[in-house]
Amino acid sequence: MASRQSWITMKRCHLPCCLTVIVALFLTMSVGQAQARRLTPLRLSPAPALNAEKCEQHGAQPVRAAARGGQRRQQGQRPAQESEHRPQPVRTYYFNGHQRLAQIEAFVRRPDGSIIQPTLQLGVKPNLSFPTPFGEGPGHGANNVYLLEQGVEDHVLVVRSAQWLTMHHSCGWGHDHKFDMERTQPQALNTLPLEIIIADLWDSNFHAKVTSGQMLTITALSYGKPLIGAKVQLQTAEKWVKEVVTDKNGSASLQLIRDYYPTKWSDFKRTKRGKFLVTAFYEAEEQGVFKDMEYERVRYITTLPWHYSPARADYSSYGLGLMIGLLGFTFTGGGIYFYRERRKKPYRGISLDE
Amino acid sequence: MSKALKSFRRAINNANLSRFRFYFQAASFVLLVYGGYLAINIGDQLPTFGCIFTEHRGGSCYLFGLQHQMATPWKSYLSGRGIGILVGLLTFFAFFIVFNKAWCGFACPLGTIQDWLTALRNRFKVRYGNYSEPVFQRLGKIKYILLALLILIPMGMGNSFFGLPKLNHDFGVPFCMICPGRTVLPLFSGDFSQLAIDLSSKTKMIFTALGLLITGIFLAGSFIKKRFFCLFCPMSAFHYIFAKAALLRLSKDGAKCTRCGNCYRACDVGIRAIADDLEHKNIVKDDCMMCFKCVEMCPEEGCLKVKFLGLPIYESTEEGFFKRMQGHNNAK
Repeated sequence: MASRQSWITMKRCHLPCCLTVIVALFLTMSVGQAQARRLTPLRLSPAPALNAEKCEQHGAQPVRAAARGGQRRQQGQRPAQESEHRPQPVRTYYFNGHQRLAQIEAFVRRPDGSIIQPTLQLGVKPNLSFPTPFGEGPGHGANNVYLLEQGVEDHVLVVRSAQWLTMHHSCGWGHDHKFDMERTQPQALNTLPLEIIIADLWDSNFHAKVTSGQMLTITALSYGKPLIGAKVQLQTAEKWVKEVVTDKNGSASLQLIRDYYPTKWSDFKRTKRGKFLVTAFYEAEEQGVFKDMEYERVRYITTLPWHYSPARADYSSYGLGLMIGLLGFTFTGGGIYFYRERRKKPYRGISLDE
Repeated sequence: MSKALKSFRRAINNANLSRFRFYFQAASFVLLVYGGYLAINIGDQLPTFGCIFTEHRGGSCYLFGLQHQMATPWKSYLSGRGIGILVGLLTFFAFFIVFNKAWCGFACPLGTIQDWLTALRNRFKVRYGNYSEPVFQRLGKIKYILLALLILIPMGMGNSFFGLPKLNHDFGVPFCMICPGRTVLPLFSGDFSQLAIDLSSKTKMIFTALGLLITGIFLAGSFIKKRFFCLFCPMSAFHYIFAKAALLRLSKDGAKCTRCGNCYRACDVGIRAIADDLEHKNIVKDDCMMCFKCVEMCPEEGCLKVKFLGLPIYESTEEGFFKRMQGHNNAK
C-alpha cells in the first residue's frame, strides 16, 4: 500500500518534470533546426576549410592540419596566407560551403578591368581556381575574386557572396603601375548585388599596409552604387567584433583594434599578420520568383577577409633615433672643431735651457 | 672644320659647366625625389641614389634591387630568378654605359645634398677640410668592403656559408639600412618615418641605430668635407667595375700637363692622381664623380677632355679658363 502511494506521489511529482523536459527538448530541436537553416556567410580562403567549417551539403572530412592545431601546413599544400611578392601561376581558393539547390557562380575581376570565370569545383573541398600567368600582363595588380550563391529558403531569396583580394605581383615585373590606381586598389564589379570595398589596402609598392589601430573606410556597393543603411561588421581572429551602418555615401569608418600583446618583447613579430573578416548584411522587401520559387524578401550577405600587421609606432622610437643621430652629428662636429683648434696652436719645440 | 662649328665648340669650351651642373642637379633632384607626383618612374635599376624609401620617387637605386636579389638560393640562380638578376644587371648597365660616373656628379640626389651643404658652408665662410693622401687612400677602400658586404650578407640569407645557419630576414638590404639616403631623402617628401629606430628585433635595432648614427656623421662631415660620403659609397665602387666600358670618358694628355695642380685643388673628392698621373689617357678613377671641375680649372689647351664615343665634347682651353676665372672673381 505504502509502495503504491509512493509510486503515485512519484508519478504526480515527475509527470510535470517529464513534460517540461519533453517541451524543452522540442524547443531546443526547433531552435537547432532554425539555426541550421540560418546560413553561415560564404567565405573564401587560400587553404581548405577546417573541420569546424565543413560543407553543409557533403560534410567535409577533417583536415589533418586542423587536427594538428591548424597552424602547420602539409607538404605541397598552399600557405594559409598569401604574399604580395610571391606570385603563383594558378590561384586556388576554397570556400566553406554551399547550398544544394542554390545557383552558384564565380568571377574574377582582373586589374585591367576584364572579367574571367574561374574553374569552380564543388564537392568535399569546394574551390575555385584561375590562372595568373607570370610577368607583366592583364593580371598584374589587384585581382578581385567573387563567389556568388543565390537560392530561396523559406520564401526568402538569400544572396550570399564571398570576396577575396589578391595581389599578383613580383618586383621583377617592375613597378610601372605604382601610380595606377586600377592596379593597386581593388575596383568594384558593377554586376554584384552587394560588394565591400576597403580603401588603401596596399601602398604604391604593392605592399599590404593595413595596421592595427588604423581607421578603415569600408564602402558597401550594390551594383556599383553606394548602399545606404547596410550593416557592416568587422570581426578579428581574436573575436573582437564591431558593427557600423553605412551612411549616405555607402561608407562606414571604424578603427581596427590593437590586439597583439606578446608576453615577452623577444616574442614580438613585426610581420605578424592578424586576420579579420568584414561582413556586410542588407535586407530588402522585394517580391519575385527565382528558379520557379517565390520569395517575399531578399537577404544579402557578403564577406571579405583581410589582414593587418602591428603598427609601426608599436615597435619604433623617434626619440631614440633622433638622439642617436644627434649624437653622431655632435661627436663628428665636435671632433672636427677640436682637431682644428689643436692645429691652431703653435708648434712647441724642445729648447735647451742652459 | 667649318667656321660655325668652330665657334660653337669655342662657346661650349668657354661655358661655365658648374652653373649648368647646378641646374641639372636641381632638375635631377626634383625628378628622382618628386617624379612620382608627375607619374614618372624611370626604373628601379638606376646607377644613382634615387631612394626606394621615398614614396613619390621618380626612380630608385639599383643597390636595393641587387641586395634583394642576392638573397636567392644557389639553385635558383640558374632558374627564372637568375634571369631576373641578369635583366636587372643589364638594365643597370644600359643606364650606366651612357653617362658613366657622371651619374654621381650630375644626378645623385645625395651628392646634390652634399653640394648644397658645401654651398652653405661657403656662405658661413667656414674653411673646408681635406684628407691627407695616405688617409684618403685608406678610407677609399671602405667602399669596396661595403660593396662586398652588401652582396655577401643577403647571400647569407638565402644560403648557408660553411655549414653556418642562414641569416634571418632582418638582414635584408643591409646597406640601405645604414645609407644616409634612406633617412635623408624621404624628408624632402615630408616622410619622417625613417628617423625612427626599429626595436622589433636586435638586428633591426642595430642596423637602424647605425643608420641614424651615420646620418649624423654624414650631415656634419658633408658640411666640412666636400662630397664627404662619396669616398665611402659602394655605388661608386660598383660603377668602377664597368667604367672602362662606358661611352662618356674623361681623358688626359700627359704631354700637355704642367702639373700646376689646379685640377687637384678643384676636385671635390680630392683625387690627387688627376694631377700626378701623366701616363694614363683614361683618367677616371674609382672615386671620380665626373663633375668635370678639373676640366674647367685646367688652363692648358686640350690637356683634359670629356669625350663621348671618342669624340671630344668639352675640353680645357686657356681662353675658357680665364673667362671662368674672370666670372668667378666678378661674382666675389
